[in-house]
Amino acid sequence: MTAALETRALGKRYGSNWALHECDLAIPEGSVTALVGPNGAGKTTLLQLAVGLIAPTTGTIEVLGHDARAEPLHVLPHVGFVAQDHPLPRRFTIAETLKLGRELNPTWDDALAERRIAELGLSRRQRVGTLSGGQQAQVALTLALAKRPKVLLLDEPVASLDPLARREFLSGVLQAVTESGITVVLSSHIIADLERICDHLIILSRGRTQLVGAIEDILAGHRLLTGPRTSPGGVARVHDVIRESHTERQTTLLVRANGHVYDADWQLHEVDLEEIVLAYLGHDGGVAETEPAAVAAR
Amino acid sequence: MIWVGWRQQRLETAIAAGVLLALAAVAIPAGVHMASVYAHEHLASCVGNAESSACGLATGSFQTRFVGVNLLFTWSTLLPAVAALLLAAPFVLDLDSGTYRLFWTQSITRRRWLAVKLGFGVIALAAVTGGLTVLAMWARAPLDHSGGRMGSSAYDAEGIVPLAYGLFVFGIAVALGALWRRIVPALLLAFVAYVIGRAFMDSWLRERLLAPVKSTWQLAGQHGPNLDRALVIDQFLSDKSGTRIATAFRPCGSTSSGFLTHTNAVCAQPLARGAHAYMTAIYQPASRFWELQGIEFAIVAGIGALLVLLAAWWTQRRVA
Repeated sequence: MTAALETRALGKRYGSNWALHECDLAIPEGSVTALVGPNGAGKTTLLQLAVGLIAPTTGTIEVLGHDARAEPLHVLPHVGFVAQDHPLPRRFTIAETLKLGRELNPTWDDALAERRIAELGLSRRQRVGTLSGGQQAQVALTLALAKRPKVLLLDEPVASLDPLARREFLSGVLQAVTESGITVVLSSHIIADLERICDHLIILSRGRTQLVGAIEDILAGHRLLTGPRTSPGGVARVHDVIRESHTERQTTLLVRANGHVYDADWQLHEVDLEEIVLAYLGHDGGVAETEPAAVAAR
Repeated sequence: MIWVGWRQQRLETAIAAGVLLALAAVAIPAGVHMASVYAHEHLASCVGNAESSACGLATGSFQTRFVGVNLLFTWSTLLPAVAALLLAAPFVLDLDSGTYRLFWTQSITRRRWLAVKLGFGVIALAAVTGGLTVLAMWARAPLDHSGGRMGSSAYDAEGIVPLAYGLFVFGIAVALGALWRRIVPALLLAFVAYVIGRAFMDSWLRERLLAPVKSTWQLAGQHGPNLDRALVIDQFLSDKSGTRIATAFRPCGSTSSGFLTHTNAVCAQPLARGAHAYMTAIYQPASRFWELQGIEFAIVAGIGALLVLLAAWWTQRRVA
């Protein structure tokens, strides 16, 4: 399986601060990947690097086998990108916004664009500046989808939307995925939304990848262990302890299991994605570096 | 991108064109009227005719009568700057509002976006400033014929200098906009830079672009050069070699406009004692109009063009 997006030793530095550091990733074609992390983790940096808005300080990033900086016309026509806050020219009407897409994209699908606008219940004469945030996000998504992209990159598309608009927006994405099987990378810090539509996960924190893999594998590979209060030494020798917490009489460990956990002292529980993500984001110790192969082997 | 570029700047282009049309709506009737008065009173024959006091009076009263037209064109020299700010706005606004991220992720290169946005701005600017030049050269013809066009209200509205200042302001605005990505401070600062640049050029640098002519003549009997149309930098009583004589004499009128230089000589005469009084004038002759315009254009438009290129380079390489 080929990678839709691949990075090697990718780094981006602003001043003395690495927004992204030593990042090795391979996102398989056809996957829907959630890019998760706190603000300033490097999510926007990664997506902007992918589409060539910024240039890497170190390493390489390729989308569909091409560097967007060096060969923009090999990348841009195949990538739908919705930037944070989904900027659109406010003075344009919706019809003019669609014309903009038609003028600037050779693979533009006018029927798709018109259909989506009609489905959204918007009038072609409305000015973009008068639309609600959710509607603007939908128009920006329409612009990205009507390019008929192979890869769709969405940078915090739902962050500024209310729950209903969020749901509608993600339904639009999901519909496009089921219709055309495009690769999607979607950054967000709202985990519940991502779980609904994503099959892969990348956790970024402080410019580094903390966890990369298929959600299915991630869920299967993590367990919550509870037992009498003790130090996690024995478990930690075999498994990666992501988070430990103690009460007076009980210790709880969230571990990434390397094989089965056979310890009679511990009770095993399944753990949901949100808990795993939060554990990794709060996890300060040695980063659980994962290999890109873990993603590619979907 | 052609349609998009035009769509994004048509409002600004229309406003700039509207200001030019409003100016034309006043200047064209005034110009027609002024031309008929000028022809009717045979004032053209008075040019260079310094001996005739009737001519001097008639020319003086003509210029006084139409001082309003002169004032109108003095203010019109702001039009290139205003048009440049308007036409730089769509470029800076894209950077300010973040919509550049939308354009740069469509199927076009950043270079193409830059070429269209900046190219369209410059083209519209050239059209508006060209319109001002044509209007000013036509409507001001009688005033220029009698008083020359070295004064600011003619010089800065005619020829190629209006385009130069337009490019200058456009360059500053887009360069600041590219570096700063804030539209309001970028445009405000560009205007401030324009005012400073214009004041510096009008009051100091322009008269030094070429070595001025120095001419000395005897007040009694001799006629000096005709300074009606010249840019007079200085004029004073002197000895025969042109060295200034310390005196309480002050010219009666403005020396910069060329309007009232006749009167200067008349004023000076009662003060001149005997045949030893000389007058010296330092000036740029009217015949140097295009030469001076060419030099000023090269400097001012050159700075503007460099700033436009800087904005393009910075945007291409640095902006994300």
